[in-house]
Amino acid sequence: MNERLNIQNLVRLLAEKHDMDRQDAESFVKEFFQLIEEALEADKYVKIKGFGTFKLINVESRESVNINTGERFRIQGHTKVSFTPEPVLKDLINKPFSFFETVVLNDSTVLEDTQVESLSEEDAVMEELIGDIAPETGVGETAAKKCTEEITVTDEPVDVVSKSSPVEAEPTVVETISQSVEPIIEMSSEPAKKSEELLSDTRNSHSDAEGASTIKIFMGIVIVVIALCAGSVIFMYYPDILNENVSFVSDRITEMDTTVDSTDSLVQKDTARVAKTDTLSETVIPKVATAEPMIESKTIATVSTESIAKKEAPVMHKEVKKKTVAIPSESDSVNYKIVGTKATYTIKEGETLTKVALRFYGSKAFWPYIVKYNSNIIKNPDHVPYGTVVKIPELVKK
Amino acid sequence: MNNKEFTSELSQRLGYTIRDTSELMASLLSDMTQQLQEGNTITVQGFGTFEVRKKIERITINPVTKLRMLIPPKLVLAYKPSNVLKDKFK
Repeated sequence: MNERLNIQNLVRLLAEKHDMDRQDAESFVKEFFQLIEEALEADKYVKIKGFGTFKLINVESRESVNINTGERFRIQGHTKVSFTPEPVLKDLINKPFSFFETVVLNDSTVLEDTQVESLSEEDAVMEELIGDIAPETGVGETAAKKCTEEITVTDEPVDVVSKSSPVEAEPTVVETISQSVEPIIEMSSEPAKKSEELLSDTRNSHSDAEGASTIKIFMGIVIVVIALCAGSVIFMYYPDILNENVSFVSDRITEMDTTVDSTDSLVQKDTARVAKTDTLSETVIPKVATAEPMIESKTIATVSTESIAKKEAPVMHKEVKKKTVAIPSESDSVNYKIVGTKATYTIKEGETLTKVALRFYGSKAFWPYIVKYNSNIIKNPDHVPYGTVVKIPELVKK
Repeated sequence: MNNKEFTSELSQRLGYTIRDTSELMASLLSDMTQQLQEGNTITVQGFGTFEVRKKIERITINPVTKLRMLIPPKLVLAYKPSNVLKDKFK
């Protein structure tokens, strides 16, 4: 797609197909095109079956206006080389678009990108003339119609990429065939066509670029949004990805055997809340605390906590009412016994009990023990001021 | 010059039989067609380029019936003669 091929490519393909020498194939291809050129010179018309027709078309000189300067000048009469592909070839090339058909529009909205071309009556006249006179096989009625469609007589610019030479050839055909056509039409069609070309080129490229880029931008935005949502969901449900203590969580789950009403809505309520400081009631601690004071922005329940939460619905209710903090991951305060002081520790700036627990116990979940042990010092477990000295209890599994 | 004349002239110049030349011609053209179908451009030095261009859809009004027609987008084969050729025929 969009490759540029030259003679050598064709030569190679031909040599491979027929198992002939490169030189032979090369001379064949070169001679082929050379012959077309010479035959065209001699006969002004070369028809090749399965391909199309090459013609020499004489263009008369005409007056025209220089678009930039506005001055009138004369385009000299000259001869053009035109090529019209055969219908079979046309269909083959148009295969990707073959299923389209031209349809009649009934009052569809005017908000169509394409501008409406109106063929004026002069065009209608031209069409008739062409229809009557067209003798060559190349310029059939279809070509004539195409010609009239693509030449707009009106001054409105049109979205027609009229660069192709067949189009250029056709107006000249018109000119040669129907010499009775007013020179005004020709003149206006030429500059109109030129401005068309410029406008349509820019518009096409612009709209193409625009179209392509807006789609890309849109896609990018969609992808970013989805990524953010996915990230936040994962974040909510797997805070332990940060801890890497997921095994602990699974232990907790297996220990639970009380069944509880589904508290999906509860869980969601909790998960939706942003970490805020709040007072933890002591009643929370004996049961599996399903909320963790979070000063950091880890405010999400794990799947395990969901199940834990489900199992502890009555406690959950209480907690939910009291707290605005989201359900944390596992936090333990039941399975271990405090048997003494392990160490003392000064809370540093920006440090939380969970971090302290992590440091001393290797798991954030043990912070409730610290709170319990230092209940005289720690009034608000969510907010332990920097510099507070806490005793780290020694824990033994029950 | 029609196809027959062209083929015979070509075969004469190259020294192949008419059948061979027509066969070679056919395969050359089919190769070209295949490449064009894939959307590639063929440039023949000193002759011109064959390109596939897309024509966008447009709305036209048939002046006779006054109906609004939507002409669908299409791909067309365009030939652009090289400057050498153009000058030759000027």
